[in-house]
Amino acid sequence: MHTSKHTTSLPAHRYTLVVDLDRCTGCGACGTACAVENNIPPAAEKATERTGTVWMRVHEAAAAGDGPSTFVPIPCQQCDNPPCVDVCPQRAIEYDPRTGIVAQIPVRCLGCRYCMVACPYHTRSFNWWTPEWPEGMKATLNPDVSIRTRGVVEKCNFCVQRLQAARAKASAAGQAEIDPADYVPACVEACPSRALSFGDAADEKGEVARLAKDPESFRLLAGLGTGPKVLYRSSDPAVRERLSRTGVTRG
Amino acid sequence: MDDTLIGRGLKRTPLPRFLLWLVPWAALLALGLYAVYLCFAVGLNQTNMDNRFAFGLWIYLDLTVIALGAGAFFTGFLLYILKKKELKAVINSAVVIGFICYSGAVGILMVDVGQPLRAWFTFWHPNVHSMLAEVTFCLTLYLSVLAIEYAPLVLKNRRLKEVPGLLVLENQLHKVMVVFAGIGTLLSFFHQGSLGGLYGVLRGNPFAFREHIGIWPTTFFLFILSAAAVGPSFILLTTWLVGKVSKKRLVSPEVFQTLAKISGWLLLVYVVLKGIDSLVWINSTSPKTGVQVSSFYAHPPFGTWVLFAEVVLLGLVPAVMLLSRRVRARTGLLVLAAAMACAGVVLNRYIMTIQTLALPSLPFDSFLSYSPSWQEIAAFLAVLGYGVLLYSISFRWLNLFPEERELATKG
Amino acid sequence: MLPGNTDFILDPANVIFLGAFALVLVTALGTLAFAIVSARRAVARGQAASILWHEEFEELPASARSCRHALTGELPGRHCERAFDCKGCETHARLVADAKPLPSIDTGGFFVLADRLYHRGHAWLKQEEDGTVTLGLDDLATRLVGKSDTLDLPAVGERLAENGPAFRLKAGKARVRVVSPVSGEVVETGGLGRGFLLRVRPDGPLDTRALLSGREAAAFLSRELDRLQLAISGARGVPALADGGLPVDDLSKAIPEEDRDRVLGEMLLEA
Repeated sequence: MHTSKHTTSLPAHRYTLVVDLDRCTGCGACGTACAVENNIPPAAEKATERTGTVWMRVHEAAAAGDGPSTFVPIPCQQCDNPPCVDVCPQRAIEYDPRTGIVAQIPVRCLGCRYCMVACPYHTRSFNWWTPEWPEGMKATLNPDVSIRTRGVVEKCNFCVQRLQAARAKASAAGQAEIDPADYVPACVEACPSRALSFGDAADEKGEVARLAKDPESFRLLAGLGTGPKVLYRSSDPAVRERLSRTGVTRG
Repeated sequence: MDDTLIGRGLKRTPLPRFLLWLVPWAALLALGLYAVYLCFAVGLNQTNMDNRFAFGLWIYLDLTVIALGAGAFFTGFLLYILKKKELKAVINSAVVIGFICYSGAVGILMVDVGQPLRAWFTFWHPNVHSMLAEVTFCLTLYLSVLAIEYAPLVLKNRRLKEVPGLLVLENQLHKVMVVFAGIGTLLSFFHQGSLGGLYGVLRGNPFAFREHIGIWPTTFFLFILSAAAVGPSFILLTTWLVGKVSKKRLVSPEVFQTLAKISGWLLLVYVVLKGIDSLVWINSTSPKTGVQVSSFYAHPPFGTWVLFAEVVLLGLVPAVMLLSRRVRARTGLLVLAAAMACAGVVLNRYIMTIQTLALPSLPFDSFLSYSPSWQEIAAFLAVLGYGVLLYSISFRWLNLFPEERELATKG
Repeated sequence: MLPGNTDFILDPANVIFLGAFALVLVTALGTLAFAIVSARRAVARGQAASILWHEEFEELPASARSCRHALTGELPGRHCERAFDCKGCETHARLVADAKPLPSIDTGGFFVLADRLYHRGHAWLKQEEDGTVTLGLDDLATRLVGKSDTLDLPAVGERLAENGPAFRLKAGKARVRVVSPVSGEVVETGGLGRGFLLRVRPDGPLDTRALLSGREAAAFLSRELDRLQLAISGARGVPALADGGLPVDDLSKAIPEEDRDRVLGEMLLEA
């Protein structure tokens, strides 16, 4: 009753984000673009790094010696075998079997935070404060994304509203499939160093499918079998070795 | 007024002294209610929980009091289903303690969630694969069953029973109590289990994840067993404590013996199974994900001592003590053993809820610490205050220990 | 959740999970409803007094539940299993059939009058010529009532049920009911000085098989005196009086105020 395997049949589309760690400068533009696109309110006065609402967190992973740090942008990993979906008591998290996108439904969320406990990537935010925008900023809210109330959990959904828009556009033009150029998440669009690329991994000829098979690509916590659709790349074997480990050996 | 509410032949402290005793507990409750008000009015930012430490003191409290409150269902099961008649001496007290534990847990849970008004969503849009849905269903139903089991005690109050209709209802309820004991046992099995399952199913957390037997992780079964094992110990402990505070003999010594023996045997079985489970986890489950178990114990204060304390010091040792006739012959040692057994489960729930979240998961994570805010502690203590209040009132005006009157007359 | 709701998923897991809970819920609610309905029905049928008396009887100490034939020495140590309802008791029927005529009354310090029948709740019943019965307190219970104590008698027209409360005794902080030996309607109220407390028109023909008279009643009262002594001394661990005797004229004075409620409850069979 309690384990369902989503991996048995992979979806027709598998939207995937590839992060090139060699290119990431840690500038945080991705997170800013994400916040603007997804109506993430400015941080509350007393919010901390651990209580603010962040969908795209850029983590600075220090090198072993005195080498340069690696910046690791971590959005929801969009797992194909997500540990969060099954734990939600009231189906407020959905795995879309057509796209592989794991979406949180804030209007149904009870705010129990069990999904946050279940996720090993810590990519969710709970609304510890009532979201508030300064007067002028309200006009800039994105009408395609609903705002969330206090006391619910939210996270990255690969800007699924952009997928909806792309579908509407394709449908209006009488096309069955969307133009890949029409569906690009805000973070990918915003990255100045082009560290992020996005596409459908199910498209065998596409760039993302090629990168997924590349030996320089790896996934976070691959040992847990969660099957993330966020890939990380680095040409530095030491970085790959350090970041692809499951579990921490030392405190 | 007060005199006419106290059961015939029961000696109770004078009313002013009783009210004075209630004051500090009522103060705790009031402070806690203020903290709860802050959480509702201002938000859960009043707590020290955060996006990483998403469960805190309150979830720990829930798991602990529900385990300790298991005495209610298990005593009911032993008395009504297995016909262990001597437990009639403690069943009323067990029901009250169970009700306090469960209502306290549900109350705290309602503060803990961000949108309590949406609690009914779980019933309307249940995800039957979620352990938390199972917990919610079982807990709500079982709390109702406990309320039904509590009702006859209230209806038998000296004043209320003068209304003939109420006492007839009490009589009829008593006749069908075996059905409620059965339902209570079934529901308790599932929610105690699901509370364990909450952590055992966490595929993303090798520290908590356990092998599955059928659709349930091993923690499901270990939680049922550990709760059933310490339930009777907690009844023993509370009965002894109430006897000490009220300076009265409440049950005959044989009752303690029965409780201790049952608790001891179940605890022994639990410790053996917990040992096997730990070995499987250390040698197979966790290494399969690429994580060595030793890494979980590399972060002080969570050294391997916690595993030792949980399984041996507060598991095997009290089990053997409870089963030893010589220990049971001395009340002091018997109570110590029962307290150790309870402490073992309290520690187990602590490890499950707190260590699980404190441990790092991503390769560049660090060990997390969390200390609850005063609001969290106040709400926690409010449950204690509420419990002592409800128990004190019940002890004064309801007949919680049927043997008390006879033991008092014997002198 | 429910089939027909757009949110309902028809798969085995949902059906098993929700079906199981529906079953448990229906069982619990059904059982509760059953208990409430049967309680209401029992009250409507006038069985309340009998049910309560039986429940109360179960909780009495063994010493209060002696069989009448144990009092007379016929069946030593036997306890009543029928809440003093001798009407359907086979043992009683057999012993009564074999019984020799009762010898003269041995009062043992208390008056047992030949014209009345005694209930083990300490009320007596006397059949009057006009078809009514009068009720009163037996000699022992009368002496338990102190000068400042009061008896709460029901009003004329109220109904009494056999083994249900007939009237209440208020003695200081103690409140005890006295059970009625008969079912019927109160037609007149009396008082301790008037020779009777209540005059009652019984429902239907009178059945007095559960009541005691003569030697049995005397044995009963003398055993009750022992019980009283035990009840008074029990709590304190020492006999009330050095010689174990009680001042039989005013027994109420022998009971310490803080024990009165308990002692009266024990004597008048109220748990």
